[in-house]
Amino acid sequence: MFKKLVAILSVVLVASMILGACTTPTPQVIKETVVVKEEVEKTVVVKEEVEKTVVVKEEVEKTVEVPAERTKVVFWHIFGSGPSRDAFDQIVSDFNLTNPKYIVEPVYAEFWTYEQKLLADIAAGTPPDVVMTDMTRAGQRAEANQILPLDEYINADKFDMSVFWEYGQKDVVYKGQTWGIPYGPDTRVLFYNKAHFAEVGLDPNKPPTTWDELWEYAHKLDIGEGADLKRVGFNPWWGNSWVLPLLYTTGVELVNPEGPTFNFTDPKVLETAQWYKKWVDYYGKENLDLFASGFGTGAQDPFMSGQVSMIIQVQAYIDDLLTYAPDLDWGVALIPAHTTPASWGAGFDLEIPNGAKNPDGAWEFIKYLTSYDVAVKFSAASGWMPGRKDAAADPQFMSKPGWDVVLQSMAVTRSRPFILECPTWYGPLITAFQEVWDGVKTPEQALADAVAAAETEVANYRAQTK
Amino acid sequence: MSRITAGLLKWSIFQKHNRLWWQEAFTGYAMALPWLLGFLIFTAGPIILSFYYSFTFFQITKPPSWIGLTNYRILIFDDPKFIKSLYNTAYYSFFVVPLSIVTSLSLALLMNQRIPGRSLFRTIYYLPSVVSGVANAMLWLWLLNPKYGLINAALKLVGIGPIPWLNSAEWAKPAMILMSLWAVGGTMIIYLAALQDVPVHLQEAAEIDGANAIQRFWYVTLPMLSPTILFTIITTTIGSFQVFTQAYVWTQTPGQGGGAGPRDSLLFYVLYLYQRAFGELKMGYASAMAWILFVLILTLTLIQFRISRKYVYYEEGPKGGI
Repeated sequence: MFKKLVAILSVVLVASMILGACTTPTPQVIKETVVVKEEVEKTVVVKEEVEKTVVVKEEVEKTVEVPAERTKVVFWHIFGSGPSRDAFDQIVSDFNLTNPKYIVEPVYAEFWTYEQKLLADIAAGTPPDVVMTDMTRAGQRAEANQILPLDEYINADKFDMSVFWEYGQKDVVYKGQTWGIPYGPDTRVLFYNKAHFAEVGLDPNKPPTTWDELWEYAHKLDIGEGADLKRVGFNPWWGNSWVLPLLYTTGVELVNPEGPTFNFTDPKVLETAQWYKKWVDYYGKENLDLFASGFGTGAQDPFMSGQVSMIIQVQAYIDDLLTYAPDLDWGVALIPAHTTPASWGAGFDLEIPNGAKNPDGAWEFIKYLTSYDVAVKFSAASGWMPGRKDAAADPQFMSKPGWDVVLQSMAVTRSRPFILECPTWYGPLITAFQEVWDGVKTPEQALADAVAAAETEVANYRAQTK
Repeated sequence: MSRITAGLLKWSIFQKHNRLWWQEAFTGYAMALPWLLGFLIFTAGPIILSFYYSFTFFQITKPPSWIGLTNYRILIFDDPKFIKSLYNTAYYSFFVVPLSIVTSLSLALLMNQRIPGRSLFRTIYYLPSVVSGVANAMLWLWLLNPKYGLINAALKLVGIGPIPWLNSAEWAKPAMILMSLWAVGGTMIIYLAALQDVPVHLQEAAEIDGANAIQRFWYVTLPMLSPTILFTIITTTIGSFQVFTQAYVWTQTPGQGGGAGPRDSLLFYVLYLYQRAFGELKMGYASAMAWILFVLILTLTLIQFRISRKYVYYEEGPKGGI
């Protein structure tokens, strides 16, 4: 008896494994009711000395009949908690209340493991319908058949791509097709301490605009020297900068996707590397390391704590300053330029994975999320940069200090072009700048090595895919 | 003649086992089936497949394309980062293996003394091994903080200047090595168990013959421990070549596609494998890396076995070895 049971069990186990693997993708039809919060007007008779009728607002829970036969749209978001989560929940609930055809099921997927989970689910044929992921790698996913092109939807709806920031428009296009809709871009700007400026006799309303001014102002702002540095005017590595924001202001095209070729030995790049070297030679690497060893987050943030007078950060740092350093007197400026104003940006986009069960519903939800009102509503609550130019210029944001500069910066922001043969082409470039900074290679040598490293990657890729 | 013998042998197997034996065998295998299936599907299957994938270009969501030995050729001749990651890992392993063996053995010897509060000390030294890798890495991020960290504070007391640790290409690996020594508790327990097995009569005999403590350790304890030392050397070497978690936690920069510390100083083998596999979707390439690592570890282990013949003493005689 028992042996039979075991045999049956094992057969069932194997059968269920086989069957589980063969389900066909069909949208899941949902028939259900949801409980939502709604404000209703209620007439209440209030007895006072004079009897009068007033209208009071009261929040009651009410069961709303959801339109029958709606299909489910699964969306993986990265908002675990906090204001962005609250705003996001509200936005999804609005959609679910009003949309006659689709119902969105938001699923929280943790940021750090997002891409691996997505990869596994696409491979298994069970991806969500909408994902939010790194815009600059859309081409990589497109090449690996992981996402769907959106051109048919865009054309059918005459969806206007020109409302999005220029670099976002470029990032989501790969081989002539559009693979995502920009959502949550960013830009880098210079933050400067106005009190420090006034203290050393600089005009607090005239931040540096050129590299020469940046150099000159920084050293006026320095306090102490050598191992006794008490305040540092500026260091190109600190904050959220790396090398691209400053490099882009030289107007250099670092890579040419045709070819591809890498222009790291361009005189402008060389000049930038030498300029970086000038900074480290001025302060001394050990002195800067020692000084930076006290940096941290929160109260130990180098700019908030006044240890550094000027720093490059993403625009969201404005909200951090308003929250954590309300007494600090600061200003925002475009990245001081070598020749042309520019900045570096990255960001997310919304994509539809290959194998999504409900791509039509996914598109509907993407349109909703990127519509003007919804974009403004979400960004106002979360501090995220709207992907749309018009939404970013909404009066709600214009009252934010420095926002006008952020908009100027967004307009000149460039991203990292996607190179299929060498997606991490910026890696060797950053390493080269670190080598120059640490004094282990000359700028010429380091940059030539970086080009060689990137070219080897391309050759290797070609050998693997020929 | 041999054919007949084989035939007879075969016959006898069938003869030997009656219906009950077969029933028992069936039940046994049925009971083991969940594990067997799990092993075949989730362990053996992927291992065999990864060998196949290592000869292909494979992005998971597209069928793999056969490219022969290209992945191996690139790794060995045309990938400076592969060499760098191998160097970083070997560097780490070179220091971690002897240091952790010496540390854990010394700790075990101390914890084997009859001192008051021995169980408490044993627990304390073992505790770090219970902490998960990620929590461990986060904790050490603070301990190693150049300005506020406890390590630099302690060094300052003996007059050693602030060390930039993870902020510098030169000190990042030593920081990793230092941290790994914190979790030698597991090895310590193994040594403790082995120490209990050292026969007391040998110790006593040596003592009566006039051997002092150092001589007793050198000529009695250590030879008796040698099989355990071989075992821990092998497991620590394997573990050190697979170092990943701490480097991953320390080097992740959102949006940078995964870093590897200043000037790639924390680009360890498995971290690099991971970046190629999941950052760039080059699963074939990563599979080839995994197999090279396997061959490397296998070779190292075989060499260690060969060397061990000279120093390992098995009480049961030479046949007692693994």
